[in-house]
Amino acid sequence: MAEPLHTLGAAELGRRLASRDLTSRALAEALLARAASRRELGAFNSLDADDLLRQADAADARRAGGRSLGPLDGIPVAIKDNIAVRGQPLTCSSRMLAGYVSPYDSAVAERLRAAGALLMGRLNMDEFAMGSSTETSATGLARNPWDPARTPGGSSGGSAACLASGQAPLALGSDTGGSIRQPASHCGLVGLKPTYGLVSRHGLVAFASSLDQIGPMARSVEDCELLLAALAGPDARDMTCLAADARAPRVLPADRKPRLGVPRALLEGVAPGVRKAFDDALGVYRAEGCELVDVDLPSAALAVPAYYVVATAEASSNLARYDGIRYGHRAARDGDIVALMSQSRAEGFGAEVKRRILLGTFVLSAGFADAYYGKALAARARIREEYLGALARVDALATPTVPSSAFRLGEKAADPLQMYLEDLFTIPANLAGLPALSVPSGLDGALPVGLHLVGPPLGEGLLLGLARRLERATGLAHRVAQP
Amino acid sequence: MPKGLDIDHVARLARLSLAPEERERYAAQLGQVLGHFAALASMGAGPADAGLRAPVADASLRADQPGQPLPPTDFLRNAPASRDGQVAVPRVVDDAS
Repeated sequence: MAEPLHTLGAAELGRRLASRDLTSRALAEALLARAASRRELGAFNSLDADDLLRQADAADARRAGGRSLGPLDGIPVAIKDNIAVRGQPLTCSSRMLAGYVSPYDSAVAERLRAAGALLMGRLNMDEFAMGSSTETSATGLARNPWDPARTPGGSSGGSAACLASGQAPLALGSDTGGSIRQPASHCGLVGLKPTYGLVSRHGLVAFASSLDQIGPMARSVEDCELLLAALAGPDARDMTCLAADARAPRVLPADRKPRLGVPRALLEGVAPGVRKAFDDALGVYRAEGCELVDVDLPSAALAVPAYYVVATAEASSNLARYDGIRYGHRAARDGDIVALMSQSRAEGFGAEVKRRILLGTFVLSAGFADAYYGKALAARARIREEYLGALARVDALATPTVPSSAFRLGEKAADPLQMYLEDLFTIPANLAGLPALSVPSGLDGALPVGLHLVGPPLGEGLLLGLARRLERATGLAHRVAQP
Repeated sequence: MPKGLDIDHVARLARLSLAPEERERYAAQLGQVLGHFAALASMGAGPADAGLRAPVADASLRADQPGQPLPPTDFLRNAPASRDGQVAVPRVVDDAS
């Protein structure tokens, strides 16, 4: 029996489209039907079927006219709801932006359109990308397709739920402290946070600007690489986006076996099932002749506090723009302008966003900025130095992506500190601006578990090469949760 | 709770109205989180611009050239209220003042 279209990866779909065995309209219709049948997972905030079919018809017309735009032409890419797509809602899963419609395309939307990809729907997320479970979304929970009583992770939980249930072959996430990699791990996917500056953030709603990156999520390494190639490129509208001549990629050396660094001191407290998958993954690399090297990252313990100071400080500044005046929710209450703004923000933001704005405001406030923000910047610099030092001796650093597999919905919702510690392994790559990915390494019972690899600046190809070796050994590519 | 955490002052700075029960909850939660941040206190001084540097290469500004702005109607569509092609806001200055 032929495999259902929703289980196929983007590269295979591209081959079928190129050989005319498949039309983009047929693919779009199959995925819309799949999305309708898995609505209970809460993956999408909204999905404009007519718009998707119009894009599919245009792709089919291009191909029929011999004007195909490449391997992504006609293939849907689902978009996280903090990335602007002209004419589509942009809510960040927040009441603050309910009803907001993007007046322009983000840089990544432009690049995907130029590659012929179909921009599909608006994916659920933690409100303003602040969370690790998608439970802070004001539009409703997202669920893990492998166990709907559990979180798909966050903040790109809608992206992960969408992919793992076969509602799209590719998705965009954003990653400020692990928001692509942690949900990828929890849902059995490949998710990559690029080097800071590789992908333009023009049109990404800002959370913490020195940390935010847009990146690809997919069900295989090949598909992840395909999507990354379409996203990466210079863009003068994002001053942190690297110029074309600063993009020399790092690859695995051809003259020696790869070296993987393992910071064993960080592995205390990892759940047994996750630890076993990690050890099995190291065994795969050892069997392939890779050299495993113990590394010491003494300042890594400071990563979580440093991150939550820097990220909340930047968020408190970035989210100051939501004042209920020019756009966003405005409270009905009249009165003086400060009261109106304060009430609009109180009504528009959810609990986690308020918590982080308050925290960020405090750590930047007079009398406390040196003790918190200044120290966090110092810790950040030290962490970056240590990671770059380690990556001068090894090709990549390996840990589990998350200390435990997907937790039950509600289990950590009342304890923000426990939720923040989910990000222990993923945060340093954001602080240091380094590329990092999660690739499925095994199962903890029925729940997927990911291996986390961090590489040197512009080492995306190197990381994807290492991930491909593990994927071949585990056979965990292209898994779609049933029904 | 860390000394000096005045939740009312912080909320005022953040332009955030808090209900009484929120005030108590956030004060307790921020105290817990800031307690976890105590490890940072052991850090020595670091470069002041450590968080601002682009990690790979020098950031550069684009050329300062005029461009075509988006039509005002695209922006007004997202305004909470508009009138005569402008964003409408509550009166904030009395006629008498």
